[in-house]
Amino acid sequence: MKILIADDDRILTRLVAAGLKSRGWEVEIAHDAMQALMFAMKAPHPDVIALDIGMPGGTGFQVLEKLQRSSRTSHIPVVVVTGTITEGDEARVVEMGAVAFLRKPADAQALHETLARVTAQGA
Amino acid sequence: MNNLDLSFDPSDVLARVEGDRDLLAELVDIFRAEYPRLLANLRKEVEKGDARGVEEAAHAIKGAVGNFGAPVVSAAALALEVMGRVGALMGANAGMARLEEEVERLQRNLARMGGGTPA
Repeated sequence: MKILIADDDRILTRLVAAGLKSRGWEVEIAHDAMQALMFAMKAPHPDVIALDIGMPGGTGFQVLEKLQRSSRTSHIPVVVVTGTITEGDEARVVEMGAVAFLRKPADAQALHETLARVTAQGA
Repeated sequence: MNNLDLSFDPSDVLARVEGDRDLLAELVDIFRAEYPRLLANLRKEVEKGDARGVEEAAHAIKGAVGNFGAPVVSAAALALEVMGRVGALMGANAGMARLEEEVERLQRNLARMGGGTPA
């Protein structure tokens, strides 16, 4: 299974990528909103996306909206992983189509369990 | 003297990398490369008096140091993030000085653990 991690924190992405790779995931990393959209749109598409809210070049909300609008990516489950979200924001991302939500710091095991759950639901 | 800072827990740091010291060294190298830019960005926003900019720049630093546990450094970054959020930057210069000091301390602690490529 392939995951796209979209987060501008280079330490976190490297840390989580290592943990997910050791658990059998193929990992692709994007460090800004534009890169996240490019990698998501490109075939072969990721099976799931872990999306941060605060990124350079556009918010996670904007990325999520574009992913949901595109027929190429609207089927990909999105897990929002962020440290700044409010309760209102949480409701908003779910309304916008995110399938799960994790608060930072999210370790590789927690992310792996959530990703396994949401990809199994979509299978 | 080899007194590790009590606010820094090496076993927690190792747990975060699941015991992989090579990965830790790689993360510390990324941190060393990133933090001068992150701090410079925050300093610029503090000097400009841009509350939103301070909030965002401090949040980025909080995220970076939070990957190593480091609650004292995270708290120093959070203090600036909150100052930015509420638009009260009176204490931002002092907060900035404290944050820089704590980031340096974190660097030294990580180096003592053997993290990162020797300079």
